[in-house]
Amino acid sequence: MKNKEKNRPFVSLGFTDEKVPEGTHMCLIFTKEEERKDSLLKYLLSGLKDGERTACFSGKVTENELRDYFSENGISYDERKDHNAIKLSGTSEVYFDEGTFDPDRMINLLTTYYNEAREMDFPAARVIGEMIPEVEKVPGGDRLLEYEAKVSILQEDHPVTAVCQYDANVFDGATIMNVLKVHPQMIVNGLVVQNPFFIDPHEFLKSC
Amino acid sequence: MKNNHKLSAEVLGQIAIMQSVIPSLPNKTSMLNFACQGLKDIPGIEKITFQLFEREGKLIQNRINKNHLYKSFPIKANGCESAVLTFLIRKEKDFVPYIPYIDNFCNVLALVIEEKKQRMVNENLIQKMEDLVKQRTIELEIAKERLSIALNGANSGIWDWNLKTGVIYFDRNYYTISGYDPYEFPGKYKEWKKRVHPDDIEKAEKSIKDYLDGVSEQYIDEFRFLRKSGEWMWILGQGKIFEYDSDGNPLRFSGAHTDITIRKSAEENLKKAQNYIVSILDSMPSVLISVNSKGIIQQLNKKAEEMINHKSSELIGKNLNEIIPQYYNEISQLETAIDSGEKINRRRKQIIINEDIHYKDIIVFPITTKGEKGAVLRIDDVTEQVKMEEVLIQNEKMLSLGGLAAGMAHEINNPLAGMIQTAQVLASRLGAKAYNKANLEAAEKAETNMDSILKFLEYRDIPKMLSAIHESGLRVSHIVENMLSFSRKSNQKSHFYHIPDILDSTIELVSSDYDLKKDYDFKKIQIIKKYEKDLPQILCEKSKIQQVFLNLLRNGAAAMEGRENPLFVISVSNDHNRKNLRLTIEDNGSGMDEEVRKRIFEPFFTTKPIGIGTGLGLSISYFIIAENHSGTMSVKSVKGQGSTFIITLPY
Ligand SMILES: Nc1ncnc2c1ncn2[C@@H]1O[C@H](COP(=O)(O)OP(=O)(O)O)[C@@H](O)[C@H]1O
Ligand SMILES: [Mg+2]
Repeated sequence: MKNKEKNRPFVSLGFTDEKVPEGTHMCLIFTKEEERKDSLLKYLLSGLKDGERTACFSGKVTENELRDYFSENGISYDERKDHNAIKLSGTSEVYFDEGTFDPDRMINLLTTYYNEAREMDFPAARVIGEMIPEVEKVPGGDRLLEYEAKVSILQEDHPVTAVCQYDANVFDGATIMNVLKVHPQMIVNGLVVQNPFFIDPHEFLKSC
Repeated sequence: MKNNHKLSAEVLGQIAIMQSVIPSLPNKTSMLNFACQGLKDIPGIEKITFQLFEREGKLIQNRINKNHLYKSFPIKANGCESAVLTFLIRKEKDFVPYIPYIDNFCNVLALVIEEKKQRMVNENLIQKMEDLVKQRTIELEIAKERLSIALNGANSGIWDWNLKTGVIYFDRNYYTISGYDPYEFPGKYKEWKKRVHPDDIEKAEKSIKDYLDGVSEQYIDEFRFLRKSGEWMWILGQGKIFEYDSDGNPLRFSGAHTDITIRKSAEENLKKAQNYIVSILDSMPSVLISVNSKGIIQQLNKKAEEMINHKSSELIGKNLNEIIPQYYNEISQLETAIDSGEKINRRRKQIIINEDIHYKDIIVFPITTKGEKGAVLRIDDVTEQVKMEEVLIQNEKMLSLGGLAAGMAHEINNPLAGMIQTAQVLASRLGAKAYNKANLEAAEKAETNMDSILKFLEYRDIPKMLSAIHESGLRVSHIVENMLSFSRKSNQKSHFYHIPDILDSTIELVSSDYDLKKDYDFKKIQIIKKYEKDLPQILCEKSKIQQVFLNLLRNGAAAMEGRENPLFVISVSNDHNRKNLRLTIEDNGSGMDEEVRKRIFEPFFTTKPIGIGTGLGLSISYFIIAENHSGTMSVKSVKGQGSTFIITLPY
C-alpha cells in the first residue's frame, strides 16, 4: 500500500460485515439475481446512511426499486437525488457514450464525480457499476482491463470507493479471470478477500 | 528433488480462490476457461489447454517430445472423465511441487461439474413428470416409478406431495440415499421436517412456502438432513407444482431430493481457507497474533488457538493482556513498539505453564493493516532447544570442571597427607608420648625439661592449635576425596539393584544421621513415596547412587528448613518407551531463581555460608548419574515453590 493510502478511514460496503478503506476497488462476481440486487441496494444504502455521495451505473435496477428500498430504510430517494447524493444511470448510457468505450473519458468522469463530491462537502464518494457483455462488441471495448487498472491508479489520489459487478452467467470464465487480475480486492462468498491474482496497475499498464 | 522446491504462497492462494469462484460459473466451458487463465501463474508452465468430453472421456497419456513435457489432469465426474486439463511444461522442476494442488483443484472442479449436471438432470425429470401428467397418457404412479428407476444409482430421490391430503410419496431412493430402509418412515410433511437441521428448517420451510404462495418462481433450496446414522447430510431440494385444483390452488408438488454432501463439505473447507493468507498463517509453526494499537486481538492463527486453547471466535476483540497475562512485560511494551515502529525481540523468556517451565522467543512486529497501526506478536516455544543447550553446556562444564577438580585433588592429596601426618606426629610428640626417651634427651640437651616445655605449650594453647590443624586437614581431605569422584575411574563393581530399596535405605540413613538431626529435623518432614510396581532392576554402584540420594535429601531438607509442612514426594516410574527408570524427588522448600538454577550443578557453586556448603554435592551427583551411569539429571524449580530433581537411569 502506498503511503498516502495508509491512513484512509474505513467505510462499510453494506453487503459484508467487514469494513474497507475508502478508495477500495472491489470486484463482485455474482450468479443470482438476488445477489446482484442485494449487494447493489445495500451498498448504495450504506453510502447514503454515512452521508456519502453515491452513484450507480446499472440498467438492472429502476428508480422505483431504489425509492421503495430506501424509504423502507427511512431515506428519501428523491430528496437525496435533489442534493446530488445519488445518481442512477444505465450501464450503456455511462460506459458506451456515443457507442464507444473510452477508458480515459470514464476516468475523467470519475475524477470529476469525486472532485465535485468533495467540493460539495460530501465526506466520501462511492460508485457501483455493472459491466455488461456488450462491452466486448463496442469500439474500445478491448480496453476494459486498461480501464479497470486506471481506476486503481485514479484511486491513489481520488479515493472514490468502487464496486464493479460482473454477472458470471454472461461473461466467459476467461474474461472473469482477466477482470480479477485488475481488482486488488474481491468478494468471494460474501467475504472481502485480498486478491492473489491482482497485478499492480502500473505494471499491468506497461504490459498492455 | 521435489521437496527442495518452494511453493509460492501467492499461487496456492490463487488456486484456493479459484476453487471458491468456480461454483459461481454457469457451465463447464466457462469454468475451464477460467481455470486455464488462472493457472497460468504456476511456475514452469508454457501453456494450458483443455478438452471437454460429452460422454465418456478417453485417457490421455503423458507425451514427451524433445524439449517439452505434457501433463494431463483428468476431471472425473461420476466415474468418467468429463474433461481434461493439459499443461505444456517448460520447467518440470518448477512445476512438480504444484501437482498435488492441481490434482485437488481438478477434484473440486469435478464435484462442481457433477452437481451442476445433477441439477439439470433433476430439472429434466421434473419437467418430464409434468409432461406425463399433463398428457395423462399414463398414470402418475407409473410415471413416478419410471422416474424413480431412471434415478436409481444416482444420489437423488423423488417426492410427490399431495397438498390436499397431506400425504407425501417418497420413493425408494429417497430413503436409501440417507441410509434408511425403504419406506421406513411414513410419507408425512412432519417426518421430513423433523429430519431437517434445526438451523436450516426456518429457511427451508420459507422457501417452500414462498414458492407455493407464488412469491418465488421456483423451488430450489439446500439444507441439512438427518441420516439414519445420526449424521447430517446436505440435500439439494428442487421441485415444481404440476397440478392445480379447479380453483387454481396447487394440488401436487413434486420434485427431487439430491445428496450434495461432498460438494458442500468441499465448500466448507474452502470457506475456511478462503483468505489464502489465513491458510498460510495456519501452516506456520509459530504462534501468530495480530493486535491493534490498543492490544485488542484482531486475528490469530491455528497455533495461537492451540496455545490459548480457545477458538479464535472467542478471542478476537479481547484484550491480549486478559488472554495471555504471562506476557505482560512484552504486551506493556506494545504501544511503544507500535509508535516507534521498532520491533521487540525477546529471547528465551521463561514462562510457567502448569508448573512447568517453558522458554519462549517473542517477537513483536509493528505493522500497518488497512491503514490502522497494530502489531503482530510471534511466539515460538523453544523449550526443547533451551533444554538441549543446557544439557550440552552442563556436560561440557562438568567434564572440564570435573576434570580440573579431580586433577587438583590428586595433586593436593599427597602434600595434604603429609601435612595431616605431620600434624599427627607433632600432637603425639607433644601429647601422649611427651615423656618418651627422645624427648627427654632433647630437653636435657636444651637445658630444660619436659615439664617446663609442656607447661609453656599449655600456656600458649599449642595443643589446641595442633588439633585445629589436624581437624582442618581432615576437612580438606574430605573435600579432596569428594573431588576425586570426578574421575571416571571407579573402584567398585556394579550390581543389579532395586532402586526403591536403595532409596529406602538412604532415607533411613538420613533420618538416623545424628549430624543431620542437628541441622534439620528430618522427622518433621513428611515423605510420600510413589513407587511403581514391578520396576526393573538397575545395574549400578550402590554406594554412589546412595550418595546421590543422600545429597538430594540433604539439600531438600535444608531448603525446607523453617518452612511449614515440609514434604518430600519421591517417585520412581518406568518409562517403557525410553527404557528408563524415572526418579523424581520433589520438595516444597525455598526453590530457586533462574540464575541459581542454572548453576547448581557446577562444582563449588553454593548459596550456603562458608563452612556449611561446599557446592560439591550436586556436581558430584550429576557426575555419578551422567558419567558413571549414563543417566540424566535435571531440575525444575520455581522460586518460593519448591524444587523437583529428576533422574533417569537406563536399564
Ligand atoms: N532442593 C533444593 N532447593 C533449593 N535449592 C537447592 C536445592 N538443592 C540444591 N540447591 C541449591 O544448589 C546449591 C548447590 O547445591 P550442592 O551442590 O548440593 O551444594 P551445597 O549443598 O553444598 O550448597 C545449594 O547451595 C542451593 O542453593
Ligand atoms: Mg548439598
